[in-house]
Amino acid sequence: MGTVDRRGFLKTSAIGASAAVLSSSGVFSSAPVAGIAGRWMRQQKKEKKLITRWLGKTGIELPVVSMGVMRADNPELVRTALAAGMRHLDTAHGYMEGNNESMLGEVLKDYPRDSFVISTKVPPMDGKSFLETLDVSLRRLRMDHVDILYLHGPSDVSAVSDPGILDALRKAKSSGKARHLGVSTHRNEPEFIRAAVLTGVYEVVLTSVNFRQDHYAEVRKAMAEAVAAGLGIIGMKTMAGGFYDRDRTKPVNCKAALKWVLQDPNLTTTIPGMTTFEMLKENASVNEDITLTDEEKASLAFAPPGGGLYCQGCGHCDGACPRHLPIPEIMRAYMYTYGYGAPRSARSLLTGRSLTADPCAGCPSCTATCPKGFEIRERIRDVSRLVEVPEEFLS
Amino acid sequence: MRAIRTLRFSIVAVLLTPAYTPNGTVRAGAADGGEASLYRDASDTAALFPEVSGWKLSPPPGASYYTSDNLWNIIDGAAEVFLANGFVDLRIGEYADSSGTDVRVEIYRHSSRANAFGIYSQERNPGYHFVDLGTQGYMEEKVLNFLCGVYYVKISSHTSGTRGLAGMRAIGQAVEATLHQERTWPKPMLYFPVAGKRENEESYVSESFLGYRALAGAYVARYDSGYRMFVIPRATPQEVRALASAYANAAGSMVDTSHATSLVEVRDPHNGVVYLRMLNAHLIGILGCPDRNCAMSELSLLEERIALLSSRE
Repeated sequence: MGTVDRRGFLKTSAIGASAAVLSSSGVFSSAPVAGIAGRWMRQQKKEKKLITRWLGKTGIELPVVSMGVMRADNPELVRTALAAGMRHLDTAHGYMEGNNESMLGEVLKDYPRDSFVISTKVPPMDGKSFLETLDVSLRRLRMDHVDILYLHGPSDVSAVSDPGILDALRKAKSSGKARHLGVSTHRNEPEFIRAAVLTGVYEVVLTSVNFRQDHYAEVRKAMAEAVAAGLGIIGMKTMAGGFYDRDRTKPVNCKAALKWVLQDPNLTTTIPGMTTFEMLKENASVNEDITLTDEEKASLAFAPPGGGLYCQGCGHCDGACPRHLPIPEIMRAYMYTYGYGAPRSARSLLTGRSLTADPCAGCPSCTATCPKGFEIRERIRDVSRLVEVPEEFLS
Repeated sequence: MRAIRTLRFSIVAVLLTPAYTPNGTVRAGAADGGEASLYRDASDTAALFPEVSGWKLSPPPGASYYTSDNLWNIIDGAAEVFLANGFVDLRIGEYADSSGTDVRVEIYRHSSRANAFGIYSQERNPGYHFVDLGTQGYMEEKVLNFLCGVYYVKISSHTSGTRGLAGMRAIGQAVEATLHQERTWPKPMLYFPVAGKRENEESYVSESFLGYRALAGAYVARYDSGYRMFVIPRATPQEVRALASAYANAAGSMVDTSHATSLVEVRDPHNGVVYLRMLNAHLIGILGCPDRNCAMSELSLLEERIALLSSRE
């Protein structure tokens, strides 16, 4: 028995216990099934003017804000999201070692199957294991099919068109275990989106998209191409991490960020993670109005500088260094190292420019500045040390 | 050979340790109940991956070090929950023996023992086969995960059967020894009354317990009776009162939290009736009780244990 089966068995055998674990809180967990479904039905009957969009050619129509299910400790958030009119719930096989899918299975068993649209994701692996993994997810979800099955975040674009994976995806669809097929991508989004279109297999792309993406114009262009080809686009990471700083003290105006990406009509819906009722209420309000107020526009336009890793190569710093250091290239090396986890590429870039370790040593003050607020000298010091590491030690 | 490996990991770790974690120190958050961070210097990577007789250690094909900036690069959307639980960094090493058995070790470091327990408890399932490793671990075919102080260690192998299991176990034990962490649970875990408590279902919710931002840092236990009890440690009684008040307000419940010893009843529109008590530096509470008397009775047991264990400090 392979890993998947074993895990699946364990998860399934634990369902009795975990169902009780995850069903949560007093009042609602003890309510009769019909009561919960009835509550949902009553909510749906209420007159709501939700903004909806079609998901490519899938025939699925969704409100512009859906729910990324990030945590399993409060199923009431899921019930409240559905009651607020959200229809689409996004999870993944690997989230919380499967507890996320198990929680959703426990909650959704009380709802009519056609009242929600659920997606899950399976990472790249051989075709047989891929399908076994999907079966485990379906057991956890207590469903015979998911509405969207994603290939989960392949690290290499070649996986998008891998024949074994495409074959497994087709089998998942032909067997009825997945109504529609998709791929999710967190990086090099335009490249992945275009690769997905070329296969002719994928119907949906789940992509990072947000107001802080330096390459947003290219992402938007690729999304438009995909939509023209009949694919549907769902957005994630719309809050750009939710904070401007690493200590999570400067929050993004999430409502504004959400509205901002929805100005693009090619984006069908978004899946922000919601961990509080306050956040959920705020996001749900966007389903009725995506108009950006002046205040919201300003909150995005005047975002604190200095965050992020991405040098756009604007050239502002070029030529500002008395030692003639190629600062844009060094900033790109920094991004390779810390953003992509690719220090070997960074080292190659640095040695190609004949850089030494800590080339700023002895310089009294830095005269170069960055419109994005990068601490240039600090970053140079950090990343330039790579040149002293033998290449074979780096990935 | 050992020296070369040490050099390799030390260099890479030093170079890849971002400037914002100087010396690898991260302040403990309020949600940690005042616990100090226990981990050592971030550059001490070599010590995290021990030499194990019969096994060769090497970096993984991809990156071997991740921070909060790029964790999503390896675990995608799952990164959100790790970040919410004070994730500091992740290091990966791979072992192989002469027979071709492979073992991959992922060491997730969190900012406190509470946060490491938080992510571990959210990924744990009571149906797993638990093993005596670290504070607690569980083992399945090809997978061995365990909690070890501020670390959450995930070990996996492509090799099925006894060889894979034995390899994971041996390397897991060696990794635990190098991490030098106490095997104890975070102290608030010991407060919960034992009778009727569901084993291996306790959890720590670092952010937004019950869906409210104010309720950060909650230890939670479930009972056969269907109750859920929770303990939220804070530094002072004043902070506890402020916490209770913030929660009641957010839940839209008009309650008086100024009397420290009384039982506070919060009619939470999302979670039902939640009973609270402010106990010096702890906010304790219970959900799922049918009435006030039941809540009083159950919380008094919790209160007694807190008093008892606190008196032993």
